Amino acid sequence: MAEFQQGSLPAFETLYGRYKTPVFAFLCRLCADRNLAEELQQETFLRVVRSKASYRFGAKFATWLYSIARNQVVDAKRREKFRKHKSLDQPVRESGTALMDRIADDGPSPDRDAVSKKLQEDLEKALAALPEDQREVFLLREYSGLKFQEIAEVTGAKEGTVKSRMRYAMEAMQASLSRYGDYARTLI
Amino acid sequence: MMTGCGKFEDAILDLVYGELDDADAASLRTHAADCPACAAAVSEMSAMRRLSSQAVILTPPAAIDAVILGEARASAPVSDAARVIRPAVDDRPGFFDLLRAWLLHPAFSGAVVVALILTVTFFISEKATSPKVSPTSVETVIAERPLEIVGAAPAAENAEAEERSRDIKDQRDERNAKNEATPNSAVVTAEPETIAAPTESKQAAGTPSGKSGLASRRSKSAASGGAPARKPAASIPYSAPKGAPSSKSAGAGYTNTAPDGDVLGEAPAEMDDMADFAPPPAPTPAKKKSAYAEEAMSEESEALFPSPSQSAGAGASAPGSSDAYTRGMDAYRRGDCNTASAELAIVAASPSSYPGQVPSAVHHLARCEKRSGRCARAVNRYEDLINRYPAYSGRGDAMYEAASCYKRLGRTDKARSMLQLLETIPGWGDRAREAAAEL
Repeated sequence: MAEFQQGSLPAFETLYGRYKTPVFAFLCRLCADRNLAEELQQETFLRVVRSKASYRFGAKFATWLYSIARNQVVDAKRREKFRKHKSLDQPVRESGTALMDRIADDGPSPDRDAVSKKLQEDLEKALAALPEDQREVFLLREYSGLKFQEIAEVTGAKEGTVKSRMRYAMEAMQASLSRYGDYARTLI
Repeated sequence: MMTGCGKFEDAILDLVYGELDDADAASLRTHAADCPACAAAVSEMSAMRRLSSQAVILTPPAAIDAVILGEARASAPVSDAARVIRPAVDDRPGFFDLLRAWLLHPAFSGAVVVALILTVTFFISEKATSPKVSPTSVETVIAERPLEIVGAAPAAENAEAEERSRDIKDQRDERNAKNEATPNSAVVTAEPETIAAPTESKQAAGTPSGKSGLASRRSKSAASGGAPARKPAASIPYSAPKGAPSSKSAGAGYTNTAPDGDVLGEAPAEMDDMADFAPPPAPTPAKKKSAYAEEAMSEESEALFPSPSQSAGAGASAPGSSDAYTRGMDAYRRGDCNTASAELAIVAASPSSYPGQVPSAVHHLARCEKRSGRCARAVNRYEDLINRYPAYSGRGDAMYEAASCYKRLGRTDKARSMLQLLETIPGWGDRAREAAAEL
């Protein structure tokens, strides 16, 4: 980031390459809408580029980046671009496709294990069913790799609160995915 | 509940996500060993993490990359070639310039030299064998030792060094006179211990002055045409490895060479035993703490696996007839399941050639399949073993492992049947019931 502030484009390309996928996954699952997530992804990184001078080295870059991303989601929510919670199986009015289809990427490979495929579907549903505050904590910890202290900085909550939300999220996920208990034991 | 007993809620979360330091993690694991609630919480969270890791990977479309990188390019005022953090003309001294300046500084050079000498002396004293050193060979090497390694000795040490040099020269002359009466000049003697006490104590202490003095002695001895008797590094007394023979004639074993190339003479043959020392035992892999814990139990049972002599129908295996079995078991212990399978298959196919070893071979063939993730094949072997060798002492282990495989395959009915059968075997009742309860 320091090099990018000095004008190094390769430095930014490195940063962008490293964070674009996890940030996009975070936005996708937080919004439960891929189209919106794409918009917010673009806005997030454009904001990073335009605000590079405001980045202070005291904070970790990932914390700063996810704060921007999260704020984009909050702003979008305020603009009522998406509903707070929606069943993934219900078709969206705009396109008629189910949200699950709108979240998934190119889809699982045809030869994927049936259990794994079903698990992925149920996993996305379980995530979407979480309350938003629990979902964002779970996503930031599990998929973005932020530590609990960093998540606290991103969300503006205390670390203890973050951990409580994480436990509740995991319990809710476990309840939703209880049928996969045996399968989980076979995973490395 | 993922809170455990309630005392370590946050710590359990930190442990599962790797945010707990080693000491706290160890403490929590110790607590969890006695606290089923906490153990279950850790297990459930870990299982949840494993499931979460199966989520679809979501990647953004490439079109966004072009927009963002274009914006980044536009925000940079200079061309790509010049977009480096350092200015085009760097007036600051580079790293190598600084390094060169430091190396050329006398104080730094002297410090490096002293440090080198200390390190070498320490290493030599650690590696030194018995003081069975041929004075002549040592002297020759010392004389040839490049002076630049030693560097310039501080001026203040020179007088003391000269005096020591004269002492050593006198002693060397005495020793040469003695050796003339001894045909084998390479015979190890305790000569180094005759060196004057003050020198000995200094060298044993490894003082820098001693090292610099040594350098100076060498330089002077070289000038005088003969190397001084160098006190070997074994001024720190050498102790032979335990169990080693107490006396060896020089010429046996290999040449003991200090890291700086200084030949200290022939090492006793017992030093060769270093090569035979058994490597440290491979660390046992950490056993996963899972509620079912079947894998941990399987690993335990593997450690207690019966020897061939305990196998069903045991008779003493004929000498020379267990090569394939031995090779197979060695390979299995090394984790080489491919070789183990090939060798043990020979045993399994030749019951007459390997009496008493076939059940064990079949069992380990099944384990190889299981280890390789081929549970479907493994259960076939387990079933074969269990049915054909009812008196096999490892039958209980085989049943337990078979039940584990069935569970992995999703055949809970078969797993339950196997565990019910296992309950009838003495000593397996509790384990079988616990495992069945988790199905």
